Amino acid sequence: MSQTDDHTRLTDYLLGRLSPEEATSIEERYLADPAFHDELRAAERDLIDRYVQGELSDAEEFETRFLSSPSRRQRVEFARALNHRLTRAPGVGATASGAAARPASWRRGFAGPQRTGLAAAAVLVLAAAAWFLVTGRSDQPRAIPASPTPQTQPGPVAEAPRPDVAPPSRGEPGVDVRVATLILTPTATRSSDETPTLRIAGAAGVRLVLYAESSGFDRYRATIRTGDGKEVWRQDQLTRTATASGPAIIVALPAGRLDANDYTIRLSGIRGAEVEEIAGYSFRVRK
Amino acid sequence: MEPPASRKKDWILSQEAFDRLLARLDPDPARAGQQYESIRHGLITFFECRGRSFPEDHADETINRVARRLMEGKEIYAGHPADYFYGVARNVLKEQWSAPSAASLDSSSGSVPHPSHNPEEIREREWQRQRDEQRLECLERCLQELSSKDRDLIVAYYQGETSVKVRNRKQLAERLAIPLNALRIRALRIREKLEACVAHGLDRAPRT
Repeated sequence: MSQTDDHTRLTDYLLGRLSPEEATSIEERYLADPAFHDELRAAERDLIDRYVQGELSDAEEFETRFLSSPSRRQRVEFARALNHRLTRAPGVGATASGAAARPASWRRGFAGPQRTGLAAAAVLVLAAAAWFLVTGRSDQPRAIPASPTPQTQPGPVAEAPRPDVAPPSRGEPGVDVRVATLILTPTATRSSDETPTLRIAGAAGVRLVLYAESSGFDRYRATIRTGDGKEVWRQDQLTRTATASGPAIIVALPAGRLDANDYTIRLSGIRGAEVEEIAGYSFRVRK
Repeated sequence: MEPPASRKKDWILSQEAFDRLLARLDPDPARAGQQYESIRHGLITFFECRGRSFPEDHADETINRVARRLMEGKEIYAGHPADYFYGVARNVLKEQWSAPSAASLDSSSGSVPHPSHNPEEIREREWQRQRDEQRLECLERCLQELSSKDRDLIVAYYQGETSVKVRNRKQLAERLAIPLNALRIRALRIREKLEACVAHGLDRAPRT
């Protein structure tokens, strides 16, 4: 049987179109043959991608027959993100129309314009972040001038589509500012007693650039708490990013995570199973 | 004599039973481990393809049953071990079909009030929105964690829309001097690595 035939059969199997006998023969084969199991999983990803990209002639069938388990739904969500991030990478002839997936019944009401808006906002966050990194602009006067290297930024920046709804302008011609950035040095080493303040009105995302004397860690963890100790955000697997002022750890989070409040950040370094606290930071948020 | 159903259900896979199961799969421990993983993944796929909501649980139940039978001194395989697991898995599935189960509920079933009138739906949407943002952040981070070779491959593999993508893949396979299907499997492995990384990141992300 040719590869194309196999692929078609596997797609039919995934959609529950095969007779019990045909399904059994496929099941026996992939349980005993890891290479065939790879084929099946690859066919499944292709099927999911076609659904996410609106290329399936019968999306209803996919939703009713395929989306039976949480892990499959997760794979669809992952495919949306991957499609958003990679399909429109610059320089490949991509258009902004992208992944116009129809609303799935299992996620009724979360699609179409909202999804497009979210996607646009996410791209905008990246675009604005790049702009901040290039210009070094911050909402606040900074203790250290920062201009991290632009190549650390993800691909879609250069061709970020315009959002459906224009975000509020911050007075910079031609730039939609949706990310508020704050550069922080450890509390213990800061010369001024003034708490750095971040104004987030109209911002979709927040980037906190943390400078610390640290090296030799595999990963970093940043934990943000309110002044009274309630954890509002934690990010593991952070890595150091080169900036013009030296390496920094950059924490990105949705602006909606932060209210007008005082916050502390605890930065820890992770080396193997060891976790070592490196630095503390404090900042204030104003809407 | 077969143990009573309750005892069967409560049976827990012991280290000894697990070791015996592995030894039965292959005398070489490393190869046995690979076999075990391969069969378990296959079983998860089987239950998933048969519409089960929690395929991992059923796969583990299948493995437990096989291990229990081995502990009871039963001879199990005639041909490939996977065939035996498959037979047991089909029994597990049949039991699932015959037993009324909340676990197989599909959340798409049933009528849902219009989103604008349903506070639950509004909350769900907001949660999903935040989750999507987190997912994109995780994906970005996970892409950076890949080796540059893997990252370049996955980016090139998924670049562009339909026709561009097909052309890109052919060119990529030529550049790497591998068949298109080998490229597909290589991309699958990187994608699965990314999926696992993003899922791990989402698990650890704060929830509202």
